[in-house]
Amino acid sequence: MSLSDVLSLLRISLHAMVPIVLTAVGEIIGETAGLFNIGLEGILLLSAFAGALAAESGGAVIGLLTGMGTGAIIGFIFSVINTYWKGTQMVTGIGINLFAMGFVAFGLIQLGAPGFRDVSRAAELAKWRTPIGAMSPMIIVALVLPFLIFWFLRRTRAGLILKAAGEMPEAADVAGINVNRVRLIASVFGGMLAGLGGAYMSVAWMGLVTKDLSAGRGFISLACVVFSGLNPLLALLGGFIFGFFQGLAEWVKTLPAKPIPAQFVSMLPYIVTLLVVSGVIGRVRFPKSLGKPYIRE
Amino acid sequence: MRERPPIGSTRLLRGVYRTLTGLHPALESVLAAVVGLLIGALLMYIWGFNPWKAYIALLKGAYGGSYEISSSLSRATPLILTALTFSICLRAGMFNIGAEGQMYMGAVASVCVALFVLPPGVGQILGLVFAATAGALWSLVPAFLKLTRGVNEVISTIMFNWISKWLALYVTIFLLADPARSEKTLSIPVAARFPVLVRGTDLSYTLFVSIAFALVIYFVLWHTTFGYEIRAAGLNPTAARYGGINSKRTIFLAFVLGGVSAGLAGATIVMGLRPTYAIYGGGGMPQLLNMGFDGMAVAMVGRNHPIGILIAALFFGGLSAGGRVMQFYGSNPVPLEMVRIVMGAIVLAMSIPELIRIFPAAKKQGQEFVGLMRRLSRRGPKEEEA
Amino acid sequence: MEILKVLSRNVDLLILDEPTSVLTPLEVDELFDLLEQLREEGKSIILITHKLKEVQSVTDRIVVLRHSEMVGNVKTEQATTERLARLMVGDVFEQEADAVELTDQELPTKEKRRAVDHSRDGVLHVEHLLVRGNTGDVAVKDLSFDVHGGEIFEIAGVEGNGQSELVELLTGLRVPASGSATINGANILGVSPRRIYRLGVAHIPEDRWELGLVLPFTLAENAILGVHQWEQFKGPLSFLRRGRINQHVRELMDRFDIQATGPNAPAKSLSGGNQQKLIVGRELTKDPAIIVASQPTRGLDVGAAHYIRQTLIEMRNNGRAILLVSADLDEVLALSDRVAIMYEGRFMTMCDPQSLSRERIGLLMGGVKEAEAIA
Repeated sequence: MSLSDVLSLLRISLHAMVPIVLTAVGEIIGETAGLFNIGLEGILLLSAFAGALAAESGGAVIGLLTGMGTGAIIGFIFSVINTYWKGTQMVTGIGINLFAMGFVAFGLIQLGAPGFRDVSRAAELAKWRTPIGAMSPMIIVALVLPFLIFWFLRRTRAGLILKAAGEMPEAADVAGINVNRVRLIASVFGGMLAGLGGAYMSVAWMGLVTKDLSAGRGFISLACVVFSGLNPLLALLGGFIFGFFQGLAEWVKTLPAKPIPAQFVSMLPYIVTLLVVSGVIGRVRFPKSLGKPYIRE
Repeated sequence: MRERPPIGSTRLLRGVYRTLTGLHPALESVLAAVVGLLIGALLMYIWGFNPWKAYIALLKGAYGGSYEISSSLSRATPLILTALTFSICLRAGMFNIGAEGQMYMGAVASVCVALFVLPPGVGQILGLVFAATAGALWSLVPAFLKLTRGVNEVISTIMFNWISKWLALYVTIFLLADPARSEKTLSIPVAARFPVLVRGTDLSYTLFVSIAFALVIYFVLWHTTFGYEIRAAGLNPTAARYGGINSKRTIFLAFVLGGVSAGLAGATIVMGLRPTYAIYGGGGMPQLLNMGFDGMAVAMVGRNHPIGILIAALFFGGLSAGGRVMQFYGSNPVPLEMVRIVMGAIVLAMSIPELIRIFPAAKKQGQEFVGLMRRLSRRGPKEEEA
Repeated sequence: MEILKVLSRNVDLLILDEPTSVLTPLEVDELFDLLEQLREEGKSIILITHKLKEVQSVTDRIVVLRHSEMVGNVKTEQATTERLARLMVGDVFEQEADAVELTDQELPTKEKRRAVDHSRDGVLHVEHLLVRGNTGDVAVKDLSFDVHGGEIFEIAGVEGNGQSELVELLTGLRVPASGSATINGANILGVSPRRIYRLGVAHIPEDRWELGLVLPFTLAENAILGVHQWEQFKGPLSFLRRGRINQHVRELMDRFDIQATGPNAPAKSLSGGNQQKLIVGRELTKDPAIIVASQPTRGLDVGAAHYIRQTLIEMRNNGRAILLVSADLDEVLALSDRVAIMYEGRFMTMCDPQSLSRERIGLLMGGVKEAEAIA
C-alpha cells in the first residue's frame, strides 16, 4: 500500500465521517432530551434531495441551508407527534423512513432521472485543494461541532435543562421546565444537523442524488450514538471509525486485483458497527425516559 | 331495580356493541389509511397529477378483476409473513426490525433446494424448512446479544439487515449462480415449485403457506401457554416474572419465531413467483427488496394481530399491485413510487394514537353512538313495555 | 442534594415530604437549623413526616391526618407525644364522630384460634436479615422472626421503614446482604420467584398494577397467571384449556364475589376491590403454606376491605401461615395474632397486639421507644 493510497484512504474516510458525525451529534441532542428518532435515514434522504434541488438554483450554500431546513421540519413533525400528541416514536420513525424512500424515488422520476441525478458542478460546494487532495470544508465543521455540542451539553444551563427533560420529565416539570417544548427544540435542532449531513452528501461530497443515497447511514449514526454513550466527542471518534471502514470498502473496490469480494468489503462497516455496539464495555446510560412520551398526571 | 338478565334483542345489541368497541383499533387503522391516501392525493395534486383518476386506476388495478385480485394476493403473501415477524416480537416487547435481512437469508436457503433432485412435494417442504431455519438462525444472534449483553435490538437487527444483503448478493452471484444466466441464481426445479393457484397470474399456493402460518400464530399466541407467556412478558415483565415466567427464555423464543416467519417469506417469493423462481442479483434483488420494511407497515396497520395482518396485507398488496397499473394509466400516469409515499404517510398517521382526537367532530359522533349502544343494550323488557 | 436544589431557588413556600429518611442524625440537625433560619426569613414551610420527635422539635403547628382526613390541628407547644399518638391512631379526641373507626359490626369476627406452638420454627423462619435498599442504605436491620401455620403475623408500621424491601426479599425480587430465610426448611434467598412459589409462598402484592396483574389481560388470563402450567389448565401441545379455565374463573368470581361482566372482561375494567379479590383468589388457588399480604386493603372501599380481612382470617383458621404487612392500625388490632412494629428497619417490639394500647402502638410507629411512653 503506497503513500498515495494511504492518503487517499484518509481523504475518503474524512469525507465519509461527516454525515455520520453530524447526524449522530444531532441525535445525541435529541436522545438527551428523551426522543429516539429512528427516522434519521429518511431525514438524510429527504434533505439530500431537497438540498440538491435548491443548490441547482441557488448555489451550494443555499443547498446546504435547505437541507438543514428540511431536517428541521421533519424534526419538528416528529416531535409534535411524539410529545404533544403522545405518539409512538418507533412507528413515527419508521413512517418517516418509508415516506422518504418513496418521496425521493418519486421526485427523481418526476425530474426525469429515474436512477440518479447529478448535481452540476456549479451547485457543488467547492472543495479545497490540500496536499491530500480535494477536501470539502464541511469536514472542518464535522470536526469542530462535536466540541461545541459537548460544551453545550455539559456546561450550559440549557444543556442541563435538556438532560432533565430526558432523564426524569416529572421532576423537570415540577421544576418549571416545559418538557414538551424542550423536546421540540431539541428535535428540531437534531433534525437540522441530520439535514445538514444529508445535504452534504449530495451537494458537498458525492455530487449526486440517488434513491439509495443514505445507504443505511442513518442507522449507522444510531449505532454511533449508542457507541458514544451520548458523548459528542466519542461520536466524533465513532464517526471516524465508521467512515474509515466505509472508505476502506471504497478503496478496495478500486484495487485492480480484488483480494476479497466486493460484497464482503461492503459488509465491513456494518460488522464493525455491530462489534462496537456489542462490545461496549460498561453500561451505556441512556436517559431514563428515552422513547416514552411525557404524560402529566 | 332488580337485575334482569338481557333477553332477545338486547342481547343482540350487546353483541354488536362489544364487536364495535372491539373494532375500535380497526377503526383507527382505517382512519390512518384514509389520512395516508389523502396526503398522497395532496402530493399528487401539487405535482400536477389528477389524484382522483390515479386512485381509480389504483383501485381497479388492485381489485378490479380476478387477475387483479390475484396480483394483490400474490403481493400480500410475503407481506403477511414479514408483518408477523414484527408483530410476534412486538407482542413480546421487542422491536425486530430485521425481517428484511432474515427474509434474504430465507430466500437464499430455499434456493439451495435447486442443488438437489427431489421428488415432488418433498422439494417444497424442504425449501420451507431451509428457509425457516435460515431465518431463525439469522434472528438468533441479535436475540442473543440483546439478552446477554443488552444490545439494543433495533440497531443490531438493522445491522444484520445490511450484512445479510451483502451476504445474499455474494451467494447469489458467486455460489448459487445460474451458469447460463449469471445475473440470477439457479432456478428452483419444476418439481419443487409451488404451483400456480390462478392460471395466468402470479398467485401460487404459497398464499396458503402464509395464511396457514398466520392462523398458526394466532392459535399459538392466544391458545397455548407459550403464547400466553409471550404476551404476558411483553405486557408486564415484572408481573410475568412473579407468575413464574422465564421472560428471557420466552422473549428469545419469540424472536426466533419471528425469524422463522421472515425466512418463510423469502421462501414464498422464491418458490412461488413466476417466471423464474430464482433470485435476481442485479439491482439489489428487486423481488425481495423492501418486503421486510413494508411488512412492518402492514403489521402496524393490522394492529399486530394475525387476523388484522391478513386484512392489512391484502390492502397493502392491493396498493402495490394497483400501483403497477396506475403507472401506465391515462395521459399523465403517476409513477408507482407514489404508493410508497402513501404507505409512509399511513404509518406516520398510525403513530399518532387516538387519531380521532385530532378530529373532535368525529370523536363526538363516535362517543354519542357508543352511548346510544350502551343505553340500548342495558334496557330490559320492562322499559320497552313502558 | 435535592434539598439544596430546591433551596437555591427563591421560594416562599417549601414543602418537604419525609426529608429525613435518608439523612444521618447530624444532617437532620443541620436541616432543622436551616429550616428555622428560613422561618425567620418569613418563609412558610410544610413538613410531612411520621416521626413524632421531629414534629415536636421544629414545628409551630401540627396537623394530623388519618385515613385521608384531618383529625387534629394543634399548636406544637400544646401537643404532647401521647396526645399526638392518640390522634394518629384514632382515639376520638379532637374531632367528633368523623374519625373513622371500625365499629363492632365491621370488625371481622375473631374466632378462637387453635393454639399455635411457638417453640418450634415457623413455616417462615427468618434470621438476622440485613437488606439494602435501592439507594444502598440499609433498609432492614438484623431482623429475626417466625411465622407459624395458623397465625396471622403482622408487621405494622408506616410505609417506608423497610417493609417493602423485606417483602421483595421474601418473594424473590431482592437479595439480602446477609442473613437467612427459609420456608419449611428450604432456603428462599436468591431464588427465582417461580421456585419460591413452588415452595408454597403466595403473594398479594402491594402494587397490584405493577406486580399483581397484567392489566390488558382478561380476568381469566390473570386468574391463571402463575398456575397456567398446571395440568388442569394446560392440555396437549400446550393448548390452554379454555373451558376449564373459564370454569375455574367463574368459581373464583362466585366464591369471592368478584363483580365483572364475565371471565373475558379486561382486568383494568374492574374496580380496585375486585382486582384485589381476583388476586387473592388466584393466590389461594396455589394452596400455599404461607401467604405474604402486603398492604392488602389499601385503596379499597370499606366493603372490599372487610371482605379481604375476613378471607385472611378464614385462611388462618385453615391452618395457613399469614405474614401481613400493613400501615393500617385497625388491621393490626383486628386481625393479627402477633404484631411486630417496624421502624427504620427494626422491630420496635414483637408481641400480642392486645397487650398494647392504641396510643402505645402509635408511639412505636412514630419511633418513640419504651422509656418515654406511659405505662
